[in-house]
Amino acid sequence: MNRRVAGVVAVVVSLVVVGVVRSAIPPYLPTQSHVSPDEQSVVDLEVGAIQLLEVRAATRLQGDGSFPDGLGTDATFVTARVRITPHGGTLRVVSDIQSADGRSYEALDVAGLPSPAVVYVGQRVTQTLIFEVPADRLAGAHLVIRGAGDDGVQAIQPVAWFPVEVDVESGSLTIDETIVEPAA
Amino acid sequence: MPWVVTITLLVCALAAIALTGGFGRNAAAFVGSEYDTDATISTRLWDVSVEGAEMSHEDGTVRVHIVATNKQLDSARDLTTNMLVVILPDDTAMWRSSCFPVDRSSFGPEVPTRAVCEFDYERNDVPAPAVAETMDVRVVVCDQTMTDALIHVPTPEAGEPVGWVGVTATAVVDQP
Repeated sequence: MNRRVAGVVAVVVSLVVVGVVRSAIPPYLPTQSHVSPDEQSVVDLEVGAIQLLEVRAATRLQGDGSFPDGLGTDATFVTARVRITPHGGTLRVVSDIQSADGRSYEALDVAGLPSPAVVYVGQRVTQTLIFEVPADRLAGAHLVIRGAGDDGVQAIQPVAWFPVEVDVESGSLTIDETIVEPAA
Repeated sequence: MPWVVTITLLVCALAAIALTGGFGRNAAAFVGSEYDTDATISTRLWDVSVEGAEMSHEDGTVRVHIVATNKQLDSARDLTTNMLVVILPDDTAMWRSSCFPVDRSSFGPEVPTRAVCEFDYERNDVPAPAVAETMDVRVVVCDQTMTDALIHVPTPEAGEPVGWVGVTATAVVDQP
């Protein structure tokens, strides 16, 4: 009888210990939720590979027909040139810049400039993402890119997590055209 | 004689209500403090400055130009519903509007962003004013959702209107 009681107690204690340990561990490890780039500045997610080619910042965007004198801001325009290659399905890029204090600045669709493109399987798309961030929020900020299917359902984790290290230029930024080419 | 006293009290009460603004729509609008054009009107979620207004007789609209600064942590696609109210010269209030950023797709946190709020007479069940080159209107900035019923009580319960700006809406002809 004592051995049976001891067995039950041992099982209960084991379950309690496992529960305490599980509750103390976050549902994902930081390295799994935010994937940092490799030496080539590439993050290879399940949904696709994302390469950060260039980050620039200025207080003015070079205009086209929509705003020939350029578009200014009291904050800072940050442009990120990225190359995206989806792995298994159509990929809609969802991105924002997250400041060190947790503010989120989503990519802008600016009138007259190329919009963020949907990337189809078999393509490799190079495009420029535009953000508007107060200059004093750039220190310690990160560019976050996550993939979503063409149905718009967002894949929350993991995300590409690029540190934003940029100096604000005095002139205007020109937005390069979006380039669509066959994936290698 | 108690019925005489009762009727007298009832008449006094009705007179008092009528003198302090009446029932519902006859009450003077509570619109907060007066601000200058381009001054910052601070609410809990937004800082707003009113730049000016224009009206289109063809479209039956008044368009208010503002600069809105988002005080939330995330980018926002829309302003708070019914954050702006336009009061016409005859004290009619228009509180249904469509607001959108001028040349951006969203309002980033702490980023002053130009926006336009369009008020349609028909959508607000308001008769279109007589055709004129200009019209003086009051633009009221509210702290939270405003309704037609609320704007017409002498003092809204939560003091939602924060401030108002008097602007002259100029008639424009929209390009086809």
